[in-house]
Amino acid sequence: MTIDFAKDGTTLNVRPDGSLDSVTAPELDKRLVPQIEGISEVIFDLEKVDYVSSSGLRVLVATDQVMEKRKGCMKIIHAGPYILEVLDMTGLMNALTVVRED
Amino acid sequence: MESKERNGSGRENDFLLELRLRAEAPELHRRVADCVTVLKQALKSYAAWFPSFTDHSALHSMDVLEFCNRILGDQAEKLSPRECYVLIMSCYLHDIGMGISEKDYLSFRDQLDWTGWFADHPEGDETWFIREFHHEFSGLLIRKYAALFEIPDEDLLFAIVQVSRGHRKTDLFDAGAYPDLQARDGVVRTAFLGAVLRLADEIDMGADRNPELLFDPSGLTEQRDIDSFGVHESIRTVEVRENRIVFHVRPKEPRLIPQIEHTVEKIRQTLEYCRAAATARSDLRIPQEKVVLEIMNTEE
Repeated sequence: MTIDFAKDGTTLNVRPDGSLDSVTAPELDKRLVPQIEGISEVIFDLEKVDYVSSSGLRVLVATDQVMEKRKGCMKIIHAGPYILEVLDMTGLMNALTVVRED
Repeated sequence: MESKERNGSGRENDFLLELRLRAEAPELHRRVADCVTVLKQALKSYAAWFPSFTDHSALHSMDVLEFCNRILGDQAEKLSPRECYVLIMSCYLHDIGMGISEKDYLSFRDQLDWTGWFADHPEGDETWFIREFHHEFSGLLIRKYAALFEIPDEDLLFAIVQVSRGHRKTDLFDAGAYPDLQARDGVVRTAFLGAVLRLADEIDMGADRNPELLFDPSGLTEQRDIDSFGVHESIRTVEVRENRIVFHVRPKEPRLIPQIEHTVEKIRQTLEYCRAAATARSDLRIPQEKVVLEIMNTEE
């Protein structure tokens, strides 16, 4: 998995490419820590994520919790049908901010 | 949705319970989904009582649910939809007692002989008492807030309360406390579900599951807490395989090895108990037969 980080002011755009699973999610967690310093909004662009496991979901939920503590926010954009289905199945669709294009 | 997965790494067991519940009982699945939003907030309150604890928020619940899926494997197909619902809800609710409000604590403690406990533990404090009895507080809170959690009937409420309480200390062999509940649309084997939950909760110890994002160990000041976190940090990951549970450990310091071995031994005992309870009290099994400790060198 590759991860692209791009900062725009206090917004951090995170674009993982590949699968977010038990192997790759800890790496994403580790690499996020220094990136979110001073950030008020994290946007996960999941366009290039083809699979997300429970481990991947927990990074999204953890980031959401961190941003909430900081009075900031976390959004998910460009989630494909598979990711949307996982979010729906796990009940996280309404618990997280998911921007849908339809 | 493609539930059988693609390239190994345990993915084939991802979301089995959730998939089955959504396919077989969409109304119960909707109730879980609605609940997750509420619980995501409610479960964060553990930090008010236990600021130095590792994560017990909804992330821990998600881990426990994932471990249940891995422990069960294909047996998830043998669970009734009501059992899937009970187990998923219990995964989310079993530790809710850790975040009990002051008001609920004061109203519930009389049911737990708190005066007797404090007489026996003169050095005890409220935090210790809550930790000791958090499974009981969870049961009491689930019952009190059953409508908020949209639990649809008394049988399911009873099962969720008992399975959640059962994640520690309660007697899973007791057929009165842990009966099979028969319903038109399937049985709920509470003892088996309690055994799976207890084991799943116990093995959620991997450092890979305590997000660096959320926990800063520099705030720990008590040596006991520092050592406890050191043990946790040393357990790099916990892997549930078809017939065993593997602890991959890289000791932070050699002096922690006896504590790590002690921790793993306790988990072996829990596995034995849960396997025995599952076998004695149901027609289902916990297939994992042993706990294996694999110690990696620090250079690996």
